[in-house]
Amino acid sequence: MPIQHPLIDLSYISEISGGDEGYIREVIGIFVDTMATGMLKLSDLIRNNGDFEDIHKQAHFLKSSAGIIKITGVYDSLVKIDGLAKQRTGLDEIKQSLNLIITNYNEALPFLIAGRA
Amino acid sequence: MLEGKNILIVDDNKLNQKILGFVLEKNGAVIKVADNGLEAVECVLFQRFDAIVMDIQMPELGGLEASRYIKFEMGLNIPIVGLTANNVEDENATWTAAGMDMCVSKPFDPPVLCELIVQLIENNIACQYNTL
Repeated sequence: MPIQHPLIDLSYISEISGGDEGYIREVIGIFVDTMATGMLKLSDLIRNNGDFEDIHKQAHFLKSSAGIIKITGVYDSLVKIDGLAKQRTGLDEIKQSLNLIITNYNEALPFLIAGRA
Repeated sequence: MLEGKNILIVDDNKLNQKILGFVLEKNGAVIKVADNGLEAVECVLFQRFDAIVMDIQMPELGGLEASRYIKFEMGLNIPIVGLTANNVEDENATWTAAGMDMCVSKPFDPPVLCELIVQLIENNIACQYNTL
């Protein structure tokens, strides 16, 4: 296993690949690249009072990736942002959830980078 | 399980493309990937597929719109499995009305998804045979 960290759960991808370390590293690489631009976009939309519909679409997109490589708090917070933005409400809660995502993601990121292809 | 079956993967998320491609190829399928519904429609114009696995929310043309077009406008009888990051039951009426044959939540269970595709392909072949 390329990464052992309490915040990062690679069980889904490990099970799918049968523990193929090369494949897991490849998937981590795609995840890091996808999340980097995706999180920047989400953060920009939320902090600069973007349209709820755009926030919903972006959170929904990232939720899909965050369900594959799980980082504690990230998936649940994206689900929350996705739901609130869809209902066009709770901007303060959305901002709190974004802060949690950024904190946990930034803590996990060095380990993800070390474990990528 | 899916030996030699031509399957079109439609998803705008590179990570999902990678996972789906790996799982389907591991089970013997021959895959082609489209980044959105519009590309999917172009693909089915020029190639025959045994099944399509289609994300629902995508830019350009979403999975529901693309499925509706492929099934009802083009009249193509290809099994379509929808993929959603939401609860499948919540969207039941929506994906059914769009012509999707089944819908699965992400992250999906690989053996369940493959078995479902096999069943849909077999049912589709049986239907075509019965209408001859």
